[in-house]
Amino acid sequence: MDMYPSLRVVTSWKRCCASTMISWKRCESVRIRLVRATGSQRHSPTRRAVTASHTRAMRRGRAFVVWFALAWRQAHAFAWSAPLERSGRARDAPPLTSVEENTNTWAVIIDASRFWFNYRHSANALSMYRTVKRLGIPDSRVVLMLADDAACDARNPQHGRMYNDVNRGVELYGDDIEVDYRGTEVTPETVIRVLTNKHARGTPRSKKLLTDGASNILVYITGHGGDGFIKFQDQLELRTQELADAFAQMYAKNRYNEVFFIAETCQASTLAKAFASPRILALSSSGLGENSFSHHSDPDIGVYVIDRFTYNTLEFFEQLNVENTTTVDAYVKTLTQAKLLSTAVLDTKTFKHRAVNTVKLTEFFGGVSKTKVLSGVLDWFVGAESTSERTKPPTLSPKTPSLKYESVDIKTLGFR
Amino acid sequence: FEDVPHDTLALYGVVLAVCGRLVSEVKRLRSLGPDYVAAKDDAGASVPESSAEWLSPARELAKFTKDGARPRGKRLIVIGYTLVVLSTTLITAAYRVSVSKRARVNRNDYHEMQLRADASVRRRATVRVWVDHERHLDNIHAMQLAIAGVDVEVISPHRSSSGAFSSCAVVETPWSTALDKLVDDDIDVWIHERVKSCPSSSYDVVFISTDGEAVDGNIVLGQNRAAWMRYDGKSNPAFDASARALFAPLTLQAPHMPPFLSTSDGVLLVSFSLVNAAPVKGYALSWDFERDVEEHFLGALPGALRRVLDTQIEGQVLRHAQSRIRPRWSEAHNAFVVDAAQTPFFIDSDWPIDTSVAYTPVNGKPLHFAVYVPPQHECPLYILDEHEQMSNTNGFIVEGWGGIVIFNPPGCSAHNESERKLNREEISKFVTAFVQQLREHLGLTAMNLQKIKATILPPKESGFAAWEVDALVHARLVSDSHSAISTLSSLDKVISDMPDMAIPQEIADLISDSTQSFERAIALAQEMRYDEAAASALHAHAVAEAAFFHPFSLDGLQSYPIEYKVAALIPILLPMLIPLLLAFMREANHFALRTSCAERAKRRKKSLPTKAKI
Repeated sequence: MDMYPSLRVVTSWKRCCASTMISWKRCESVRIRLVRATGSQRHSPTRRAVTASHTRAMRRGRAFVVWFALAWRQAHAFAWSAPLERSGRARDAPPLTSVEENTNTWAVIIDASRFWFNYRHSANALSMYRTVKRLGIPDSRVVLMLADDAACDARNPQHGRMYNDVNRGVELYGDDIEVDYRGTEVTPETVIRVLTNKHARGTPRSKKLLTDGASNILVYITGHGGDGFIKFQDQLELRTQELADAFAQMYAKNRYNEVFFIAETCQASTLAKAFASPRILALSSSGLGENSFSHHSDPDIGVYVIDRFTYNTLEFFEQLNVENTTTVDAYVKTLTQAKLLSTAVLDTKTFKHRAVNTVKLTEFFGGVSKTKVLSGVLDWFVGAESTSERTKPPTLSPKTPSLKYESVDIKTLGFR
Repeated sequence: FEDVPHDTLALYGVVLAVCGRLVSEVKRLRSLGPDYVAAKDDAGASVPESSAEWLSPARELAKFTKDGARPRGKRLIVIGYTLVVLSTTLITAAYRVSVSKRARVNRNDYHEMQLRADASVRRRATVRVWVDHERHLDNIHAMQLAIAGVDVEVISPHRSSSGAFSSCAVVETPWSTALDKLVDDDIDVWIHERVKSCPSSSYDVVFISTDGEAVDGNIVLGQNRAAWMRYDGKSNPAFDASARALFAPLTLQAPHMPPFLSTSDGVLLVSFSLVNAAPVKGYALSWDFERDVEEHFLGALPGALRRVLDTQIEGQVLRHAQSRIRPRWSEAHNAFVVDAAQTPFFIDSDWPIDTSVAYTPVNGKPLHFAVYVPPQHECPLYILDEHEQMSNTNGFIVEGWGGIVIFNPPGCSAHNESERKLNREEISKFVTAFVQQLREHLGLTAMNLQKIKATILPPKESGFAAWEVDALVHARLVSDSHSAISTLSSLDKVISDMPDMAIPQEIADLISDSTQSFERAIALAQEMRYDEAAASALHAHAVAEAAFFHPFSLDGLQSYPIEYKVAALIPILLPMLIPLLLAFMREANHFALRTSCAERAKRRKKSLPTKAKI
């Protein structure tokens, strides 16, 4: 007799089980029936004699694997408190608000690597920092994270200074730089905290990403990475799923309008693979299985000073000012295989509401604010000092035209 | 299975391997049976002492059955004890490091709450109409039907003999003779004195009959919650329309919530900066901020806005902070000018304008207000509007940030002192502009007040009339209750979507606190107690935000994804617990076998020698 009930899955289980838990909800239509094997077979007796026991064993084994996988999935789906119809991450959610107009721009610039030989990563991050500041994002809207203080490293012959070029054209460390998180503060946890805005009480405002539904956010991250992760402090990892969850939380709270995520690491495109929240544009310096290369070294400093992707990016941005209307696709086109020795990947899988060739770079790199010149003047305001005279009870003063206050027409109040 | 993540596959593989191993082990233990059974049968008969086979089934059973003593199970106890201790420790440890603590969170029907919040959006009010002519009462009743959401209460001397009473107001009659002699400002104060103890959702419309004097039928809207109209006591053809216009302020509603009004902590931090672009000796300006600006001009402003925002004011003087725009010289204006199109780039991101970066009294953003003193070689400087006209305030607002006003020192000339303090006359110019910009930022200009031919008594001291603040309070109530609901439902979604996320008890408490405050706000709004309702809704919003942005525990991960579990649990569980479990199973089987053999031998022993002795 059969010990195990054989199992029949009505719809294709393969499609459902092959995908991750997110799409598991699609499997609601899957019905599993436990059917006792009756032994009624339509094969001819001879053929059955040869293969019956063999096929039955195989079927039994396969059915067990399927049953186990399904049961495991289902058990977990329930145990983790998400009823099937409610599970599914933010990608399935209807947008809380319509796409708003961008009124403020923020930047999170992260250098994840420590140690002197990773000088170039600090230089990458600082170069981007100078670029966004030059294009008008104020320090209060830039969160800069440097995992090491290469400028003040004992091995730095140019002590207290950093350069991204052997010709030392631009001094990056400068006199006006605001590093929000430095050294061992820079961890995956800090990055998640900054993105999700979950800080300890008393965290200064400049260390927070105080964005709203009209904010465009530039996230630039550089360091050493692998398939689906980037390394922090040489020993910690930030995984793509963690980043994706952070963005999902930001989306749920309506904390961004659009995000431009730039990663300059090896296999950088895998860092964006789990992103599922809408309106995230991800640009990566290299694809899956590719390395991302440094550009050149400075023999005096003794290390490589900048990476290829950032070098070419800066070269492109040198021509831009804040009033420029160059679009993202024009920028990406300049990042050729010949220059980078890797493939720049522009991932638009969640950025679907408009075409990339309509996205201006200054929407993410420039601090463009919306202004309004007010016409009309408020001539009635006299301030608080007259209050003391007015609080006394009214006297029955005779009604004379000279004492009457000048009344103001409603239009001057600005009512429309 | 090509799309399944590798870690998941690895986990399935390991679990399958462990299950297979356990199954085969059980099979092996069961298969021991027949050997032993065969041996058991001749256990008492032949025991080959010299067997080279160590502990063969036969020999072992012979040993067990020597005198029929029950085994004491020492090995079983040792292994069992080890298993219990280790598994307790390891499983507890594994649980601690891999399963998130999730407090029980109340799940609410946020859609239904949203609908109830929507129902409270509609603003209602009570209007007391003071009429001293019997024949106008009918008109009032007609009006009551015409305007929805307004309860009309009539105060009339004909209703009682001594005076006109209402629930909260005591009015001497006839008021017309007293009020007729007063100027508008005094009428405002007079009415306000009478209705001081009335709730903030009640308004007064006063009809003042004059003694036959020619009156234009002008409506005056006071700073508080009263409007009045003089008329000549005879029938007035425009009476109905005018009276209806008096209700217009009640229908004030902010269509879009301005960001500075909707901060979750209800704090508005107004940061003033006097920006000296290029100060040189004799051309540098300063101010006595506390005495001349904060107290003299803005002393009444925080009080007026208290019901909506906790306004905090701070000031600073910046030096050497030049604009990024180089203005052009305009012959037409005989001055340096900045076009409207250039104003977005006026503020330099290098200005150290954020005063309190290290200190956070507020969650939200500060409202910056900068007074820009241009360099001497770019003075006088004017901002042009879209029509190339000089703007009256010589400034502009920056959405979400604040505003700028250009201050050209008189004559653009240097003065004798090295740094001169601004006098009050100069300060009044940009303070006025600031009040205008603040009104713009709070959305008061965007409100749809019907075009009524009314004279409005401007709130000269504070900048905000009570009836305007009422509209802001209601707008806040609506916005805060909606924000609270949307934050709570976002949090609910995050919690249910991220099954690995830890949820401390504190978050669950905050959620229920927020829900309760929301319910209270809705209940108060139904009673038209909008001030209290707005405060309660603000609390609900603030607490919901606190729950959403709760920092969790300050160390460690907040979620344990499956690959983490595989990596953390398998090295703990597999090498230690599985061998121990297998050993325990074998030992238990062995123990049972020994016990049964001992029993059998005992029985046999009992049955044979006893008979022999007898």
